[in-house]
Amino acid sequence: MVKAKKDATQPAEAAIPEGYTYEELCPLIGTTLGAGLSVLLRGHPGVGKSTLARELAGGLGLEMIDIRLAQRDPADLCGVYFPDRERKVLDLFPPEWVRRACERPCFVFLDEINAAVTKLHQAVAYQIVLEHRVGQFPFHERTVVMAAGNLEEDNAIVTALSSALCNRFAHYILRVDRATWLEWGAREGIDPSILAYIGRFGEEALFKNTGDLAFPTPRSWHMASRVLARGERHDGKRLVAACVGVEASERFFDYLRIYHQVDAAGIVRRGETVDFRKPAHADPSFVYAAIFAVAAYVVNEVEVADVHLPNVVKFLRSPGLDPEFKFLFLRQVRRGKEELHRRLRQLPAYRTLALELVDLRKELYQ
Amino acid sequence: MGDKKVRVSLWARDQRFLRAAQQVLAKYAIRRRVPGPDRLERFDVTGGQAPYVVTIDPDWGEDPTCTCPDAQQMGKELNAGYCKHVIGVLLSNDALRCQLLELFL
Repeated sequence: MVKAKKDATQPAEAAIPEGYTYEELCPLIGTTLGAGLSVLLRGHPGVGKSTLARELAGGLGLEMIDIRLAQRDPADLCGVYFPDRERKVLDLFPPEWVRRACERPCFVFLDEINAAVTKLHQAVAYQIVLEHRVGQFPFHERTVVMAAGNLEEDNAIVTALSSALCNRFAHYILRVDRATWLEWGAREGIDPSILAYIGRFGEEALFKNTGDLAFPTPRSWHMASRVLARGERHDGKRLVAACVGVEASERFFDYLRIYHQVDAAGIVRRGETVDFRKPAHADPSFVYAAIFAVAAYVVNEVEVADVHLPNVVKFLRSPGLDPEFKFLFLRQVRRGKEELHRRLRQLPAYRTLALELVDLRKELYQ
Repeated sequence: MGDKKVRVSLWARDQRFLRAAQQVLAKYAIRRRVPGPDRLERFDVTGGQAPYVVTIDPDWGEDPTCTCPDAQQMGKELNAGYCKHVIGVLLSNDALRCQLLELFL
């Protein structure tokens, strides 16, 4: 028997990792929900599980019904019985959210499903997940169900789910991912010095469960960004420590000394150059600082005049700047201010640079 | 992390790009139309399920468009509107290839 030769044009089957990035999960979960299955998404606290659910609901065009199981009385979930004295029966009055999930397509999100829930909570969850209904109220045929919970290793209060309930879910784990968070941060206006710090030090800086009350997570860095947005203060380090913990705050403020060395205004407005081959500028800490500081300057701080646009290209042409940093810079600009990227596209010098960057990926299509 | 667009990883984007580019360059015929007064470049792409028209602004002021269903629907979400026909046309033209950068950002 002759084995069929593998078609070289077909992509290799993707491997199955332990956890997926935020962006990898969007199409995977979208497909799973589309097949009518319920999804259980697990991940460390604060990594963006609820946000992913909101994004999926938005992408599917469905109204989201967010139910935090541990904060609900089981009666809130399944409704209450009222006596019908004439017929001598009890009628179930469902909660308002059940009506919505029955009347129109909705995205039912059972958050914190394994956070100290009772067996009664699980029984209701079982019905929602398995049968897509509550009591005698079946959900709309296009209503989807997704649940989320923390990982057992996170010191979060976790109740083991019954194997019967687990077996009704398709399971995914969301892992912390620097690249995705940086892109999200650019859109959400996260403080650029935090983005530079996370860019430089990666997942280990983005998430570390230290066992303290405050520890770095994507969510707590978002909180830190909000306090930094209140302006420079002498107690900034304490404010950030309250969000991400003392150790992370100390490291971040050490890094700020490098970040503040970047003269973004000089680069953009006066066309000053940076030689990244010089030892002082070749340090990755400085390169990340330069990328995020200049990107933030053009996105957030000034309306870049046409006359200054070529300086942005000139910055990207800085000697010794690795192409991956050019991509990183342009992603930040495009996510943060698409209109500015469109103006850059009008420059012949930018189009030349773009062609060079595209051709770096030649091996993908040749 | 709230954004309404469903997005994909860079790895997945690269894989899709590879797949689409290989398919279009191997199977499809691309014919450039005579430019009209609007300066837009139009290309007929044939060889697939149906003939499609790709329109590209050589000045990159507007994003490329294609008449195929994928560009109208999922392509817009997943690949910034760059369906495989757009990718094929951009790949086959040195002067327009820079516009593929959007795919990697």
